[in-house]
Amino acid sequence: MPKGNNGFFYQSLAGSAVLSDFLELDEHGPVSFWKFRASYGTTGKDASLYLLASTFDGSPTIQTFGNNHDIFFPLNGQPGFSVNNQIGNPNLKPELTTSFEIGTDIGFWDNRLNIEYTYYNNVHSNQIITVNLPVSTGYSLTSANIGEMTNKGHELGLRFNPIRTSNFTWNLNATYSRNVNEVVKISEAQDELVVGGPYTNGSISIVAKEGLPYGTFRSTVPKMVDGKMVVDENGIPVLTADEEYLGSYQPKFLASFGTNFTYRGFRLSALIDMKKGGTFLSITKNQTEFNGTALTTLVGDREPFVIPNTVVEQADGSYAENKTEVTAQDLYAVSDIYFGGNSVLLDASYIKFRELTFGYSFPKKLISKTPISQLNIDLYASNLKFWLPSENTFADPEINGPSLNGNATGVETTQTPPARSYGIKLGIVF
Amino acid sequence: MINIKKFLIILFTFGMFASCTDDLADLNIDPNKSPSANPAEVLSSAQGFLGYVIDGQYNVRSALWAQYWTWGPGVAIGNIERYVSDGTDYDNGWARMYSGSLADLDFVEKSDSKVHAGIAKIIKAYSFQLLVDHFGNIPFTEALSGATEGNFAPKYDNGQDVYNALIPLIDKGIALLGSNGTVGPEDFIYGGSVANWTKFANSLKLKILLRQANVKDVAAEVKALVAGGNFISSASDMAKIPFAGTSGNENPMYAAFERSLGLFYIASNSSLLHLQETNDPRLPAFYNVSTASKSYVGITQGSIDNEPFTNSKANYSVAGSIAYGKANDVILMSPWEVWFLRAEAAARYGTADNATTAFNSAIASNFTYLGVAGGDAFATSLKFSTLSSLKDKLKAIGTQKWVSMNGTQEDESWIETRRFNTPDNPFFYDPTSGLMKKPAISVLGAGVHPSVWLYPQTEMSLNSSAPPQRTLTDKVFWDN
Repeated sequence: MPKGNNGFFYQSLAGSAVLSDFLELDEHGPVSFWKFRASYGTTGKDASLYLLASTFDGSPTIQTFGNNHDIFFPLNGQPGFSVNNQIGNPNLKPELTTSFEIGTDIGFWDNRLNIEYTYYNNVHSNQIITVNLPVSTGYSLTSANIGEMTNKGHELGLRFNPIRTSNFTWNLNATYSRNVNEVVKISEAQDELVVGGPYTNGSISIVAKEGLPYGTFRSTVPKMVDGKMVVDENGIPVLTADEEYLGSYQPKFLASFGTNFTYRGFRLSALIDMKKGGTFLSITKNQTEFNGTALTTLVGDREPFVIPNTVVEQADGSYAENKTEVTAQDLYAVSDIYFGGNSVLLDASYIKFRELTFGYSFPKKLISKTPISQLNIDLYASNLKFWLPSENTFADPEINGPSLNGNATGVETTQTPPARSYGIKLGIVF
Repeated sequence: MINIKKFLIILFTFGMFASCTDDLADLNIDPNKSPSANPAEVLSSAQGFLGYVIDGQYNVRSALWAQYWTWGPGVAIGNIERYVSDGTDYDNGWARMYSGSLADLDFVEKSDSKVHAGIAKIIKAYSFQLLVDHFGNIPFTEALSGATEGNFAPKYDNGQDVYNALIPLIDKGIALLGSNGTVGPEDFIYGGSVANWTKFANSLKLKILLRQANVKDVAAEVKALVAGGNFISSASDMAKIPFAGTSGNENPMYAAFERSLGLFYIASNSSLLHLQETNDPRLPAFYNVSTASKSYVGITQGSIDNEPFTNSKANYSVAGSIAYGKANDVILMSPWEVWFLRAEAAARYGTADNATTAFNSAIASNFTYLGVAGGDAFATSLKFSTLSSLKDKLKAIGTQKWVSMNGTQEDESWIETRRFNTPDNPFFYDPTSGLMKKPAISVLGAGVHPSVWLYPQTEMSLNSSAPPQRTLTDKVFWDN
């Protein structure tokens, strides 16, 4: 860290009270366990050396072409040193997180039902992030502090054990969590930083903007007049001059549900995950629409058509009904405009049936005469089924592409989707 | 009753963190990231990036837009020839220029080595002129200020204002060339020859002045400059960046095509037919015969869709080795370019030069470079001396400049076609008689061709001072 900013304290304070002991509740009564907990603390993190000072790249690559055609130094036998594209920020401050957490754990009926609940409120001061710069500054990246960012949320966990006999047990568990993130303050001079992008022809950037969640998408969108889309004289949508804020990857809530049964040697378990809300950028949609392989490009049956509900600006500034026909190719391949950046931002919600396992453990009696001490066989299936919003026929919203700067998330860059798999597992312990 | 111990368990933890001392910081250095560099190696880097931008970006696009080449068979026809574009097409060239070359030049310019700084100033002027010629208004006064001033949104300066600042910048560069210190092989362009850099600087001034000929009275400045002489005039003082052709050091245009399918552009009939009609002996240097028919076969600009679909690249003429090769030089300024400028200056303003002599020297120097005999005779056959009106002289100069830059300076040629084509002398873009044909698949109207590059998308998204995006048919300040 820079001198003057290179030392900081952190401390924490935590406490808990087992109220069931305090109130001397009956362990086998309706409320068998009750704990209350709270904590408060700060933690710190500093910046790495290269975020502070500008440097030079030895033997820089001029252009990456791949296929053994990259161009790089040494060039014609001469070494080269290039000013690094990341400019240091000598004024970087260490980042501090102040977290406050309060929660309770309650067990009912001999702990057959357990509930855990936590509320937290974390305030991140001066979080260190990577910021994209326009290269006309001579640089493309720098690091900066986000003045203040908050994460507030609830976490709820349930465990239920309705059947518990010597031969048969049944457990259910569920979780729910909700986090609200907000960039409260960036700095006196700025209220917005670009932390990723721009991506695709739709010019989508990812920003940290005061008052919005970290990682909000920003892009141009089709220009609308009185609920109708404006097109140009060629029938292609006109985009707004200014970019709009279009949601972030951060979900409204996450939830999961799991269950397992055991009966003698048999086991059955299942796990379902869910995410509600959030937005992701699908480069798969962008590219398959450009190629004409996305179903969305079947619009107009590949024949010339007039985009419904569109108007065109007249010489006098008024708008008249658009009658110019376009083809899907004009829209998706030639114009490079599509329907604005928002058309490749998709709902990132999902419900995933992650795992189903059925297993059997052979009784010890049966194998007692062999050197084997344990013998299990399991049939399992993973990624059994994904339920995705109808607009997302393109990609797994959980996948994040490579080469994203810093903390930017929510961009899918044509990764191979996860595969469903089935299997048999034989476990032998000697 | 109350068991205090069970009631409350309090944990305290205290920590303190003090980061690296100076000693520790020294241990943490990445050998590929140096905290310092010497100006010689940074100058090499700047020239390397510049060579890539000119040949791997500007010349690749302009080979189509100046109608030397056109889209060939086997590859889906692309947006460059349709005259369809968006800002992302221009991100790479802009980034390599500003954060690759110019950021390095800025460092060299501010270094203690004055001769290096002088060269850096001259190349900077050359680069900023190129940026204005492609983009119009650009960040200039506030550009490259990220390091020193923390200005992350450089304002855009008017193209004319940038031009006005270039000649003073060159003059400062020339003044520094005489300082103590030596420059050697780290200078790819001239190997540190101060004499050649002076010629380059004078030639660049002439280029900058004449570019404004349609919008500004530059007669007095041009006459004074030409009277002083000392310009690039032959192969020995041609400004070029060599690329050895070995792995990692391939010619940028070559590498840009070879990375995927190789050169899939074919000779454009706009150029090929003109060379045939004028019996120009340079035709075999610019284009190879078709390997199938052993004759010259081009394609009308942007009309591969109308050719027999069974045809392959072998049915057509492609660029000759002077235009496309792994060890080709990247030319910054050529003797024919400068002789054509001098011919134009003489024709327009009556300078100390003889216009015909300069015109003939331009063509002869191009023949010499291409290794084609008969340059003087061909130049004489064009009878420049018999032309009387300035309009005819400019048409002859513009046309020959376009022909001569085939395969060597495609981008400078595209820039100059825009300037030579004027409303009263539209010999390039006239819809019927112009040398430039409307590509069959162009989305623009008849006689309408791109006259500017779009602003890069990164700049539109990241620089809050960037102007609104414009169209390919907007014009830079010197274009009318």
